[in-house]
Amino acid sequence: MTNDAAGREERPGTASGTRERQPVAAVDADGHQRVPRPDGERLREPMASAHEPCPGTAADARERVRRLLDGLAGAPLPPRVVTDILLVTSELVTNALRHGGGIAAFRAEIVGGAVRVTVTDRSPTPPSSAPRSQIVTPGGFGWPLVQRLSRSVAVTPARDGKTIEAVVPLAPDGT
Amino acid sequence: MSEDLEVTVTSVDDVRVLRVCGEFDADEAETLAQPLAAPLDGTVLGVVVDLSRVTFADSSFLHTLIEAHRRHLAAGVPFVLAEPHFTVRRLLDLTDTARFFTVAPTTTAALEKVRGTCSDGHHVR
Repeated sequence: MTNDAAGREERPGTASGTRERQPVAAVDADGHQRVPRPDGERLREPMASAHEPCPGTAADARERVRRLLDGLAGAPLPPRVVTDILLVTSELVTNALRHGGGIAAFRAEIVGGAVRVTVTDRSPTPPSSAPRSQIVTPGGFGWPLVQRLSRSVAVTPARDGKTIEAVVPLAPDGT
Repeated sequence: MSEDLEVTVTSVDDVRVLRVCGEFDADEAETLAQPLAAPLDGTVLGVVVDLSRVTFADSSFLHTLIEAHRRHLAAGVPFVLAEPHFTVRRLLDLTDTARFFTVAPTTTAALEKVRGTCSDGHHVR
């Protein structure tokens, strides 16, 4: 029943794709394993590995992720998986650029059958979405998409901002 | 960055047809929003948006489509999405927004839907 990053086996019988998830918008990721150290150690982590500069646009970030996926051994990924991963990337980066004061760090990596996309922005305000009753009004689709498509999402405070880490499976999970 | 990003506008017997090509995110929202905001004078029977060549679309694309849909609805002008590419269908499915739109499998079918709507008594002014 745990819903943390290690929860790969959660609800194996769920096939509808509407898996409930604990709200993770709260900055203080309750119970998440990836709580930042008080000294902001975790913030420096992605920056230290910034072989490439931070993507300046969502398109740049998608290109980076495409290259990562193209480099995978084995059969090409199903189009839906690629679409989903690019969608999460685009939403996270767009949100950081438009509402998060810019990107402080960006990383995409393969971790255990999934892609982990990590974006650090410059605003401590947690992401949010419009109430469901307003769904016919434009606005507020991005964050629910990230939550829906990710195996886990963690929002942690970073120095002068926040880090959002989304883990998206490389294989369709039955949705 | 997709270099073939473009929206071309043609007219087929008073139906405005927009063919949307390329990757669309928040940076490119205006590329789609502008032609969708073109004036709807009395000569436009309806608007068809051909989405068969959209190779990526995120929530900003959806916002633009919803805005356009509302505007056309308010103006009484049929607004039909045609042949949405896989990435667009996925976006509509994930957000449960397909039901807000009229969607046709092909542009031809979309044109027929527009004309059918117009001859069904839902005349535009």
